[in-house]
Amino acid sequence: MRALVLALGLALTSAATAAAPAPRGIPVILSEQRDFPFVHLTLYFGLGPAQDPPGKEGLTALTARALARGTTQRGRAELEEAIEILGSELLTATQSHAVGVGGAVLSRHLPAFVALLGEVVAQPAFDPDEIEKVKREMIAELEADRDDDGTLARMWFRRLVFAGHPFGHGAAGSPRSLAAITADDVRAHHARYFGRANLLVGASGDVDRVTLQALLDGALAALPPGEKVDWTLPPAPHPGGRHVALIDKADRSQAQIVIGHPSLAADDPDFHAVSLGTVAFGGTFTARLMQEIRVKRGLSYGAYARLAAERGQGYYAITAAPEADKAVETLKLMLDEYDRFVNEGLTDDEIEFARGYTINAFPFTVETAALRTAQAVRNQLLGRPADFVETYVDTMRALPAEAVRDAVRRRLRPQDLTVVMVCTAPPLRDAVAALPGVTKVTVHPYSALE
Amino acid sequence: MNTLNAHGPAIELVDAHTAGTLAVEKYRLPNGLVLLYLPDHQAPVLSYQTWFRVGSRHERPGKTGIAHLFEHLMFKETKNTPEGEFDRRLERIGGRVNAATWLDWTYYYEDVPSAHLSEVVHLESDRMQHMVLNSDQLEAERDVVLNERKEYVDNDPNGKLSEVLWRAAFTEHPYGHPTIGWAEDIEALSLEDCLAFYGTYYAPNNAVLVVTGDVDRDALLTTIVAHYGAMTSQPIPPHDAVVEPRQTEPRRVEQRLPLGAERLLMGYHAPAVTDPRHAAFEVLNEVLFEGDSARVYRALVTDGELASSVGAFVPGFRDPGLYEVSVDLRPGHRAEEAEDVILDHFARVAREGISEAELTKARNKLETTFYRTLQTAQQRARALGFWEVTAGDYRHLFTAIDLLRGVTRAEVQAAAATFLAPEGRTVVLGRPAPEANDGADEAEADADEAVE
Repeated sequence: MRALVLALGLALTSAATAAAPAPRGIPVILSEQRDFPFVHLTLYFGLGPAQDPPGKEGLTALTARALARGTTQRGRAELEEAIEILGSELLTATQSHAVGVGGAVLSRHLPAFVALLGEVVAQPAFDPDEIEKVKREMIAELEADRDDDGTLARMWFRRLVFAGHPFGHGAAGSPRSLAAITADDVRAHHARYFGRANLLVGASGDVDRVTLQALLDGALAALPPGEKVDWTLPPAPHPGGRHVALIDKADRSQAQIVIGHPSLAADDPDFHAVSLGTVAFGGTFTARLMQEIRVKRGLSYGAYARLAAERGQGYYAITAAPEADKAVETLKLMLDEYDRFVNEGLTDDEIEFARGYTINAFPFTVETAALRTAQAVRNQLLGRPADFVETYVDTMRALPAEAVRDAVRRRLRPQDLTVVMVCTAPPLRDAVAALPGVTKVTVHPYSALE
Repeated sequence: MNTLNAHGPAIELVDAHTAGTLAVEKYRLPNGLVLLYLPDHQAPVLSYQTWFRVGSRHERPGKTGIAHLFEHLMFKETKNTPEGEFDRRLERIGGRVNAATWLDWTYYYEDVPSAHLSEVVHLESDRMQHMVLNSDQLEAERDVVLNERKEYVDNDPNGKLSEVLWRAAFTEHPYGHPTIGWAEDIEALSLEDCLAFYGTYYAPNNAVLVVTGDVDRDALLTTIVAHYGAMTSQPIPPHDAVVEPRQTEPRRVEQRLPLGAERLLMGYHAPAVTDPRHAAFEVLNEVLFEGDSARVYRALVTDGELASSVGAFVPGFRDPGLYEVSVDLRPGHRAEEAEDVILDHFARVAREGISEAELTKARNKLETTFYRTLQTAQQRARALGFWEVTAGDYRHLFTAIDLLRGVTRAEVQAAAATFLAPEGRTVVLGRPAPEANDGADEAEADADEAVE
């Protein structure tokens, strides 16, 4: 493959996607599409790792996974069989802003699937033995993740950029924090947050609204309201200077580099402008970063910039993976280009190009019913304004080039950032310390991520 | 066969096939170029894919990686389009552009708003016949590919172990060498090699165009005839179908890597994608590995707690490929423990077969997967192109799901007995490299030490 395919990273939907409250007040976003006899259905709860108590990081994700381990009516194995015989799999996922529980199912089995989903979220068994099993699974997965350098770099990046902040840990927490979680913690977390106050249902495919709402109404009748999540977060730390963290691993012939810092929340008024600038800087194959790093110099297979849309507090990240003996050269180029992007600004031509790309690519984000629902759900759960979608294209079209340059200059900070580099550290340490603006270099054994 | 009168003899309607809401038409130009057309007007987008019947199976020893490297070079320059212009013109209109190379094929795709069909046809037809290359372009892309290899093979335990597995499992067939190529071969490929590869395989009679989405038939046929009609066909070298000798005894390789825990890969020679037994093999895989209730998944992950993850890959290739099973062990467990569990399950299913409930479950899940993977214009084009190029007939896409629905328990049991026999097994054991652990331990003392 010539290049890795990146998600556009924008939350969009079409006006055709209908959102309406269900009879018992459960909001449902549904996009019908009748060409195949199957349905996507997910119950979303608007909480994430930010709601994990200190010292018990991973509690939200553990609670979500434990939902699939049996109900008060059937044990784990029986539940798995009951769901999979329908042609489905029960998927649970914990993102920064939401937990999703659901799957795809043949439409002839939708009633049974909805009933099981209701059982899963409203009547979980939370058997202590199963919870201990899930904890051991998550710990083993965390340890396996460290064998993948790209994943490892992203794990360290979040940990260092959001140090001391509710976003400063991944969804799975750490082996230590998982070990501290009890079955009572899971039950209490579920009772507090996995209720109707935080519930949004996303559906698409071969079902009509009346039928779906009747099914949901019956299946979720026993779900208590729970406590509405307060998404007020403290500001993320953003210390001055450039801190380079070398994540030391033996025998690396390549380095995985992530540089960045805390940045705009998904609902920030400057989000559109910085997002458009980021498309021009590092969002496409013809963007500056890819041209300078890959096309002109062949330094890395991929080179991208990303403004991550998260609720309450986002981040900015630039990535590349050069061979080890060109890692410092590449890092310097990334830092220089980031500085040039922010302080010298994009040209009018670059901004117009990115604008054309962004507006013309809009239909792909709403191509199918599943995409329309996913974008609408995401938009709502990120706390964006209600008219975000309807105004998106017009807003992008109307943004003056100078407003893009101004927002990039005001909101991005190339002199104050964190560099994470997974590499064999000793040969590189002195050279990275000599790079412009670097105020601190730390070396961490790759296995020391707690 | 029918001829579409509006376009005269310039393009021929070969056949049409309707399955549910999907109505596919197949056309052929006199120069041999095949066009598959699947309209869908649910969104104003289209996917335009160009599949070439060439992949890494066509590479000779010493020239591995050329199909993939050349795929990269196809984005560079033509007589009519300066370097960089291809991407700029397509991205300006919101296009999503990429390509992929594997054992049997190479394909290129452009997803664009449907108003821009003519731009895509112009650019794609241009590079099918007017590519130019210089050594600077080759050298820059060679570095990119070597970096790609480092990222997804040399520094990626899964990529590395998989490469070792396929190399060990195939002694004769070119499926045994990696599509990305051996590093020393990539470094040695010349400009002449690349130009010769282009001249040999990139011809209309070796290509299949697939166009799906919001596209008008007449407009499409008109522009295809206008841009591709004048191209000439050329002799495509017959590909020597090397038959992999039957494996008569198990093979075993041990590999040391910087790992936190052991990994296990197992490979078995599996049926080709057109083999009537392929459907039964897919059902077998569902029962053993796919989903929380699958036999081996439960035994290794949920109940046995030996592994953090388990995966299996059913090959979909023109010739018999490798059924690949991978296990990430949990710390403290040996790969052999997982191997024993898997072998026990393989023997049991070959001996006792599967239950009716397991068969129903597998069929239903595969049916869901079928629908789920045919949602977007790009997914539909990819499925049609894959079957047309790999199996010689796009209609396999629709018969494959019918075959899955008709699989019997006896066929699944027979597939297990035939394809999971012990003598056909190749095992790769990934062991943590001692030096990696030592290094981490020593560095622990310096943790968080700042160098100002």
